[in-house]
Amino acid sequence: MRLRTAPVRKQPAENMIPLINIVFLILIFFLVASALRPFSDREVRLAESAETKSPGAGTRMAVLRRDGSIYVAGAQISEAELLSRFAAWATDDPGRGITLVADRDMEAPALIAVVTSANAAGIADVKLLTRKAR
Amino acid sequence: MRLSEWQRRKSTIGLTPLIDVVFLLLIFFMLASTFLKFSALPVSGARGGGQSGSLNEIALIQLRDTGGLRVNNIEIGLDGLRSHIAGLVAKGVTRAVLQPAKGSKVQDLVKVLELTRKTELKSVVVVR
Repeated sequence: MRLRTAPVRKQPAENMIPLINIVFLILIFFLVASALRPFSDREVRLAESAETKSPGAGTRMAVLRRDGSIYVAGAQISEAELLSRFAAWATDDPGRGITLVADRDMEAPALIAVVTSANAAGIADVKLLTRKAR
Repeated sequence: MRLSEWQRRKSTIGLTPLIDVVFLLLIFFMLASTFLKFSALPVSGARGGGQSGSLNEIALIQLRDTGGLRVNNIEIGLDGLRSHIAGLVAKGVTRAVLQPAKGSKVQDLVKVLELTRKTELKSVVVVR
């Protein structure tokens, strides 16, 4: 009787659930279909190779840009610092290996100088990151 | 009746924080992920005091800055490399030394390294 007088005010709120469904769908698509970038330097264009062989988890990385600058863990370091970094890595965990992320237009002798110095420091497992050609 | 319905609606968890977090996750994965396929190519430099052996077992591959190749001082195209190395392997060559000239690019080095890995050579080292 009295209760009926109080009108039920229904807010015509926009329905959010279809939006959430779509966003979830896109999220799951990215989770399943893609992999996390192994390095985050957008300046470097990798050399192309025909085979695919995963660099493996937990490998150490050094980025070598086209102009010869060296980046480790996002910070630019000098060549001498790279050598001491190699020595530290070799004494810390010699079996772990390193992956070099070199630009495809970098001078090959400069890359080989880095590979040789890593080997001389005691790191036997040196790999070069490439991307599979489409 | 009406009271209990009111209580139930009040206890519903708000959807807005959930959407916020899902959007955040979506943006993170869109920025941090890639669809490229990566590959890791083993490269080994020359070390002193390595294996002993006759010099006849070693082939010298020189990479020119034009992208051309010289194997034991014989000019060779990139597509002829595999067959030429197969011929050398038949003559007793087991290892190769790859020497890129000044001015040659990493992309050319990768191409040659990949080709030599498909041959029967036991090891290929790179030198400056």
